[in-house]
Amino acid sequence: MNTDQAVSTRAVVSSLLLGLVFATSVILVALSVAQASQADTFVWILGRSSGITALIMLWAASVLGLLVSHPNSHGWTWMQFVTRLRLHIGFSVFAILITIVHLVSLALDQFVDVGWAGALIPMASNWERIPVTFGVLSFYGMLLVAVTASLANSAIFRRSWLWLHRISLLFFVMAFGHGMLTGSDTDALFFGYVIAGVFVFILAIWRYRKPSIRRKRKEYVRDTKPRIIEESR
Amino acid sequence: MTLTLLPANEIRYDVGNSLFPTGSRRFDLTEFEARFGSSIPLENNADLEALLSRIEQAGVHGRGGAHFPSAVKIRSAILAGAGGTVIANAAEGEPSAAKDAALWQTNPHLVLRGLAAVGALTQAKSLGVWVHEDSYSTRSSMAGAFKERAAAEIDRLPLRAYLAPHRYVSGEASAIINAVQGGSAVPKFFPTKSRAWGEGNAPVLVFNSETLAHIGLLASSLNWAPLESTLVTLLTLNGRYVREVSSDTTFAELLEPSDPAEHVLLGGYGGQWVNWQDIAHSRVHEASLAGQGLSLGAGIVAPLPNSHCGLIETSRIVEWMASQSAQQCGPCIFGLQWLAEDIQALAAGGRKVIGALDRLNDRLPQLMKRGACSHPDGVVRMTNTALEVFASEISLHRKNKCSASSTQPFFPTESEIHAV
Repeated sequence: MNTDQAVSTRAVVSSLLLGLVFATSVILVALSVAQASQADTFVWILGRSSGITALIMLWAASVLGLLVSHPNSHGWTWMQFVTRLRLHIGFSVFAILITIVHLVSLALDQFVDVGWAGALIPMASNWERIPVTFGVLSFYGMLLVAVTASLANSAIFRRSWLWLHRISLLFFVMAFGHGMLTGSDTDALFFGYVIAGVFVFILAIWRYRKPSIRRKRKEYVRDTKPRIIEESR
Repeated sequence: MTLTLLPANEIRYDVGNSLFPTGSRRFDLTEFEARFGSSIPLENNADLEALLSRIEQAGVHGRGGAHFPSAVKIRSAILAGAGGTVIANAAEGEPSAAKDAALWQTNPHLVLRGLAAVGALTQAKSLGVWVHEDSYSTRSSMAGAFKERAAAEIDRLPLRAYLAPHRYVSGEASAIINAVQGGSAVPKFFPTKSRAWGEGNAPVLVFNSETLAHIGLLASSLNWAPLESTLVTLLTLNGRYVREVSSDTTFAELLEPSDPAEHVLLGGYGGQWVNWQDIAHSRVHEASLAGQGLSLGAGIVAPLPNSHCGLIETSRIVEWMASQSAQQCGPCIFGLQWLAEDIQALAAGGRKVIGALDRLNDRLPQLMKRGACSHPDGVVRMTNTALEVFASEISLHRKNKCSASSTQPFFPTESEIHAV
């Protein structure tokens, strides 16, 4: 069996299990907070807390993703490639699971008018239509990126998964925008958003500033054209 | 045995054997034909079939490293159809190798006779020689031979020289096929694994120069017995020394006793480190070495002088091999750089040795058989054997000690075989 496949299958399964435990604990915490506040706010609190948690997980997944493939990374000894990859996969699976909790709770919630349609279909929410659409689109984007990456060894996605993986940074920006624009806690978390966003921005520049392998490869192909000398017979 | 030291050139030749009849200078066509006779007639099918069965009986095989039987390769090429190009590979990417250069610089007509014979056998439409563009000595000898053949109107097929950039992997068969078919000298993955011919309308067949010289002997009219000999490049502190070695010679007979060594690098930078004791009484013969799990590769034997540290030398080799990647496949681009850094840590010594060893054990198996060509495979094989053979040196390095007394590099990392 392929080593990469062994790593990713094991990482996906274990993070799915851990993610379920984690999602359950988020639900339990929201439940207890709601009981303490003695009002029927459980679903609303769950929606908000799971949203913020999902964003933090997605942020961590993006940071690890940029570090996994960094051109300098072969020299790093502080964290092994396999560890970075497992963490990247783990955080990504967590982020998707918690986003599902977030989505379901806000679809059920009566406090704002989102509903199942608004939570699942772009531009269908009556409340904060455009920011909610950002969230919906980035959720589908995350799913697409995760499914294609876990099938990266299959014939169908062998070529496309990496391309889709690169544009996942766009889905991260959309999810971030969704969080800042719709979140009712944005004022309190404003500096957190700014610092986290700038961090990923700088990391992405550091990652992509390096000359790409594609360019080095083009130079190699250009330099290795043979010259042919015709000799008379 | 007489040794001749060439002026302004590092290669020494072993004179007196059949492949190197003159020593330090090129055998011209007249001298060549006086000694080897003219080419045997290759006019009709019976002639060709007779030559092919002689090649088969003599057990001629590839001398570039893979040791594939030449008759099988030629037969599969005949099945693939006429109209291809046969290439003599005169490009030795490895700086420690010199046997093909020695052959081309002293007896080019023998290789060209073999090339023409394979061209006739496979009904090729053209012949070519693949040579590094900066191998000036080889090229000038080759150009002289080309002129003499043209003047004598020997070749019926067009003969071309392909001047290749000097890169390690540009001498790899699939890279040559790619380039002769109009592309660049970049290794290519052929799904059918038909290493003999490229795919498409213009098949290309690549032979090592030494292999063609053996076929050239069989195609000569003066009756040469099928040679059970190998060209070996001996790497010593005084430079490279090319010898034609008969199959019953042992390594103890091959190496000069004045140059004692505990460890030997067999087969070059993609080969294997072995303990001298294990091979001292083995024969310098590919088939008998195969029984020990060893190979001569492209015929390089490099006894490490006792004044030098195997780990430091291995580290330099891996670093250079990593720099020679065609920038094509992940295991090569990233994997070899990882290896280079970890082995550098072993060579540097100290407390980083343990972590580097762990990483090497983790990563080495993951790099095997992953690339389009076997460039990383060779480096992994060489590194694996270095870890075994230099185990005691590794523990010394861990304690910040080293057994070496010389800091001068031993293995060359730039080719200087083209001086004249």
